[in-house]
Amino acid sequence: MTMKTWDIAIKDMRLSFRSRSAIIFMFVVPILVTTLFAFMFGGLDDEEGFTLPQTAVVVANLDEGELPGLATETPAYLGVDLAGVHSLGEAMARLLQADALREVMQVTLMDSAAAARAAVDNQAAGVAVIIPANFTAALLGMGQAAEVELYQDPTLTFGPNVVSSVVGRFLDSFSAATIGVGVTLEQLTAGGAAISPEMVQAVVGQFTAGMGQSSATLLTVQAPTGQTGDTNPVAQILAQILGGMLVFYAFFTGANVMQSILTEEEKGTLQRLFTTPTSHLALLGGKFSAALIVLVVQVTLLLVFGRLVFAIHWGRWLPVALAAVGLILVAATAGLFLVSLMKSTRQAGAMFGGLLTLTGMVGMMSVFTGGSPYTPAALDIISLLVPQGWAVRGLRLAMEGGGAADLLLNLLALLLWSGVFFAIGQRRIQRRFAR
Amino acid sequence: MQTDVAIRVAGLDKRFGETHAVKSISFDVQRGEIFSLLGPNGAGKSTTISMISGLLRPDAGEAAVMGHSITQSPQAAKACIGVVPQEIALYDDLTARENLEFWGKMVGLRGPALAQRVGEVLAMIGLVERQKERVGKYSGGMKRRVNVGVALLHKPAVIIMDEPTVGIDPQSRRHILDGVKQLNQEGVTVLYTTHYMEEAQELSNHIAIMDHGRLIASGTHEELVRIVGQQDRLELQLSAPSAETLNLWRDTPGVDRVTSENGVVTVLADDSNQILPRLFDAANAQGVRITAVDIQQPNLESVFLHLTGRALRD
Repeated sequence: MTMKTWDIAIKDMRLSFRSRSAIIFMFVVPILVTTLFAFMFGGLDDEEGFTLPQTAVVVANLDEGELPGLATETPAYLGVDLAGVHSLGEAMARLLQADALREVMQVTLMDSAAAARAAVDNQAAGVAVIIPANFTAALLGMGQAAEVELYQDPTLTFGPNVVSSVVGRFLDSFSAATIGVGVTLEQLTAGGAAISPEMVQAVVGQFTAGMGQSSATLLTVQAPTGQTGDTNPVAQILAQILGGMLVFYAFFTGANVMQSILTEEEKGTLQRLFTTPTSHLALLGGKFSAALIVLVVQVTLLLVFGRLVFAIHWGRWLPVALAAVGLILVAATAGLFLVSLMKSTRQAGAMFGGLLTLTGMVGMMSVFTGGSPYTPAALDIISLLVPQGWAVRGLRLAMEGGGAADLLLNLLALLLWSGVFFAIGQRRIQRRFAR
Repeated sequence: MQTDVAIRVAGLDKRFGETHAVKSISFDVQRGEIFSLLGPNGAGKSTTISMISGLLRPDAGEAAVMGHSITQSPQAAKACIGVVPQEIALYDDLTARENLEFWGKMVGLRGPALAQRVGEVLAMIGLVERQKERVGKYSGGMKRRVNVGVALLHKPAVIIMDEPTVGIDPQSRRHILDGVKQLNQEGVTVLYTTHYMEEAQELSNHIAIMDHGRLIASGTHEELVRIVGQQDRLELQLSAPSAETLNLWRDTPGVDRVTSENGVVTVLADDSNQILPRLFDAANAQGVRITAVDIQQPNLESVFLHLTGRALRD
């Protein structure tokens, strides 16, 4: 790099960092968008960050049944200690008060159905679980059908869904037990055995004891599949979003800095530069170097900002560096290419607002679908039709714990894009200079 | 290469599509002189100096600055030139000092030499106290001064100024004209383009008049005025200008040329004292009243009118 190339680069960098609109697009917008998403996901209160909303639940256990077998034979069910319970209604109430659910629901016991419903009506609770008087008898097939009532605040979704899920699971388990008990008793009757109440209780005890050996748990919170290195799910989502924003706006930065060729042409400073003993190559080199350096600053600051403020784990440093290098090169060369197609800055709106936005959105499709098992594979492939898609992919590979070798193919693709952009862009600009 | 010719232009020619902007013009600018290219807008002055300063590639012909061909040795030729463009070509978001430092680097100045020269130029253009303000906040006149200052940084042997006084207030204009004279006194050769006759007349040792891409006359002010002899130029305004009146005046003995533009009738005549009564008589005969008369001694305006049949102001 000659001294003049460096001087031009320094001047252009200075102008870029003094431009309010450039700063807004480089840093403010990506950070603002990511911050908005962070608030949408409930913020980042602590290291774990991810907090589920807690729902107040009232339980009115009206069950009048007796279940002596369960008290001795089924000490635990789904990790919940059921020792000493006398009815299945009591078992369900204890299940809802389990430690595993304490994060998502706060359970209060009430004496009557009316009081439970009133608590919901008064918004003292989000959900009321009303267990009918014949609950145990119905589940054991010794009475009429019973119905557990879920009385909920219609504006809530998460809490009632969890309650419904736990109740449903409980009922499913006992339905299976009821069928099992029924079939056993029928077979005993068919075999000519005399069925006594003690025998019924013994059979019921056997089935409920078997249920208690289930190794399932009530509730687990897991990170999206395929993601490693960061246990904070919000940070992982924000990483995708900030990474996407970083790529999206890096292309704008590259184009914006390279656009100074047109701005200077319109202001007359480019022509003045040509009257000095400065070569076209030095001038173009200076402009391109400025774009590279400004992009390095933008990408580095946003990566560091994401790490420090949003606790984003971008991956190991070498893969992240390779992804960043690919992004910086392709964004700068794309800027050169785009500007070489433009005759004046008046076309910048259509070129940047249209083409860059469109290709940026295509490239970012994987940001909004990445990691989801329900995403058609075609979407990921379509995003790779534009350079932004490869840049996003590079960052994602690094975030998912990919090594330098995993990033090489991606970097190669970005270098190819960069080479094509640079070859066409610099040729067109040089031809424009040599009038 | 030592030579008395600072700028040599030989057969320069330039087309822009169908427009033949400069038609094979040739002239020499001697060292130490102020050479003005005078002509109306669109005459080809700016295209000519753009080729001399290496900004445009000529279609034909050659230009050399201080012996360096602008096409064969552009860097050497450009190193001898300081260009003051017609439009202000500065970075609004940089301060005056930052602008001067940047442009100084572009002409090869570095380190203490650059800092010293920037300081000198800031003093020369009277902006030492406001050197740290961004140029975008300057008045038009102050920007013009910085615009000129940039061209002076490397103490070039030749300064090319393209209509540097267009659209500025009289005070700034005077500042620039005095600056040009000052530079010339210091030995700098100046190639100056203008469409203001008074500027060319005041500044120049040598004037070349351009029109429609051609060099139509060249010489000192006195030599050019001699082209129209001792003719006076009369500018008259009529109550009701008519073709008949103008034809009558054209047929009047002693009248060389009559033109009418923008409500002003210009008459070139050998002796205004003798001609004026005849013009009044002819106007009266047509029932036309002469409402204003301005009599001027021969000048560059008369020369241009004589050579082209049009006023220079157009």
